[in-house]
Amino acid sequence: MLQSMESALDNHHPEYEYIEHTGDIGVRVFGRELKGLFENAGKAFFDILTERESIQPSLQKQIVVESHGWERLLVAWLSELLYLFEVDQWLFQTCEIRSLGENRVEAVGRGEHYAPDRHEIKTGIKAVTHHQLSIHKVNEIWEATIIFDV
Amino acid sequence: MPEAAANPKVQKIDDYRWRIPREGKMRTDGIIYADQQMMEDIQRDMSLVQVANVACLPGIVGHSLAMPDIHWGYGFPIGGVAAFNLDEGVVSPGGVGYDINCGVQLMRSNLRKGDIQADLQKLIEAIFRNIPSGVGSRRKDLKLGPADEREVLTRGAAWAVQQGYGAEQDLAHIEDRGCIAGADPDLLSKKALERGRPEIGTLGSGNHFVEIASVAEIFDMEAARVLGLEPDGITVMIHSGSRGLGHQVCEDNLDVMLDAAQKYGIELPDRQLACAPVQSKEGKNYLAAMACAANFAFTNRQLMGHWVRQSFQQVLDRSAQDIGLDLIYDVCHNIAKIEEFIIDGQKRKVCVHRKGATRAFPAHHPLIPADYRSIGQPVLIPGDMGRYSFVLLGTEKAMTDTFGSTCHGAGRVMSRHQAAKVAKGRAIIREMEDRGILVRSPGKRTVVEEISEAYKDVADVVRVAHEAGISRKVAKLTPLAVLKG
Repeated sequence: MLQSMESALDNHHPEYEYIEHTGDIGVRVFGRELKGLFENAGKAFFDILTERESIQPSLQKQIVVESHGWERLLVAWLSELLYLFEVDQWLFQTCEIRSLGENRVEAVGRGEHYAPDRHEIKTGIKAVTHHQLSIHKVNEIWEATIIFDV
Repeated sequence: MPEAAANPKVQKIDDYRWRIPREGKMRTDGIIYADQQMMEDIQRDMSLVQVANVACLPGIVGHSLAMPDIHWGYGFPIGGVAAFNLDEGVVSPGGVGYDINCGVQLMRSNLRKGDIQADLQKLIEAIFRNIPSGVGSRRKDLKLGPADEREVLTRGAAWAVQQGYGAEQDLAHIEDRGCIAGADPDLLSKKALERGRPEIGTLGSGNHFVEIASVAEIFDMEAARVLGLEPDGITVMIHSGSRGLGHQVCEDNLDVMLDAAQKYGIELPDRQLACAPVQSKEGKNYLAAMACAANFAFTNRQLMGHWVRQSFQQVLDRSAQDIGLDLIYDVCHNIAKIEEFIIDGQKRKVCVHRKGATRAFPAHHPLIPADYRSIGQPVLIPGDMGRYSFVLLGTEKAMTDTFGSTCHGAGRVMSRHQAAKVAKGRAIIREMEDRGILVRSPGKRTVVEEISEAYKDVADVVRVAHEAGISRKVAKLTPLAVLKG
């Protein structure tokens, strides 16, 4: 995996888990560092959308997103992934965070363009909401709750 | 800013109304339309907290309302209706939702059930071919350039009619004639415009659908006659919205509103309720951008309506006049509008948010089509894919009690995840076929997530709206064939 060692969670800790929300899909994402948290949020995003393992990491895409504060930056980051899928049909197997600050994230997405014969779309994500959004640290692990409008 | 953990207390007003008494930072009471059984279900999630949260926003007029299909949304509950004065009152993108002008159109026809039974499979296949559906689908025959997109955003359904998609008389049967005034495309981000262009003329995914149905029951013969509905008559319903463009407009403006709320000193019980005064630059800009997305959605449904008509002509090899697929009406389910009501004995303009709710103006209202003025505005309520949909009419009571609003649909009771679990190992498409309903979908998962059990029975929702007097029943439609996005 491309996830760097310092941001990796140990083997027993999930990278994210689903949480119940009647209308939509929610996830709780984890990371030892905020960098890992953003990377794992990207994984959750593409796992909801498709079978992430079916994505070949044959192409690279530089991604730069700016916002105001960690929580809004996380929504902006995932919204950028949605935008890249909708407009250029990008699917990323992994997203490596190269640099991360409170107002800016720089990343490299590795994947390919959506091919209906090879990629099954599981659930169409329509938006990344601010509803119940939170980022905090519990026992040395960063946690973020995100609800997707699907 | 997490929501309060506990559900607020509710008091029963009568058989169909409940009150959340004003307390804490609430500026008014919450009123929920529901019966006893529904209220028990409603209390299982956090939607009542959301009704109370909306009651905290500045300038709210009357009550924070919830229609009988209320369920947990983000920020506003789905089924939420709230009006704000134009002085210090606010407009909130979360009170409209991501899918701006997600809505429904209904066409009637001269056909009876027996006329198309043998051709149903062909019809739904033709519609599937003619209307791209599902995530990532694109239209090949309609490419929207930037100049055309501006026309769509400013003129709405009239643009589609001018391009030959549908007829001039369709426009009279669309809420606001398919165009909300004041739309300004210059306020849209490059991203919003880019997301809109490839998605024009596509259905989308999730709960969006095209449904061929027949009239199963008529509750009001005179109104049904005016609308062109007869027993066993074939109808087509289209449920779709403003696609990625509307979502981007919502997202862009939420971001602006988060800063604006701080700037204007508005305390937000939930970040998703981000808002700004209606009269502020941010408020006005949102309404002008929202109008663009609403007009995109009106255009989109107008285009799809045209392709449905074309599909019927191709398969049945009959003329358009012969088939007679005329537009009954097209309504918004997610919208904010400046409308006029009598409040405390005086005519006042307010900004009404309908988040999963339908305008329900009564007979003789000047904003409804001339040919419906004797009966009231048609209200279109889709159910789940396995049961039925309803046609209702607006009432005077809606005008006085709910800012001319009523319910919009069934409302989910199960999350998509739960629905998938319940449906595991079952052949849902086959089950539906056994019940006489053909289902066509680009992917299997949507169908599984949209099983009937995942939704409230829309008949209960409609019964409460009817008994409470905020709309009245005209007809029930049962599905014959459905294209799910």
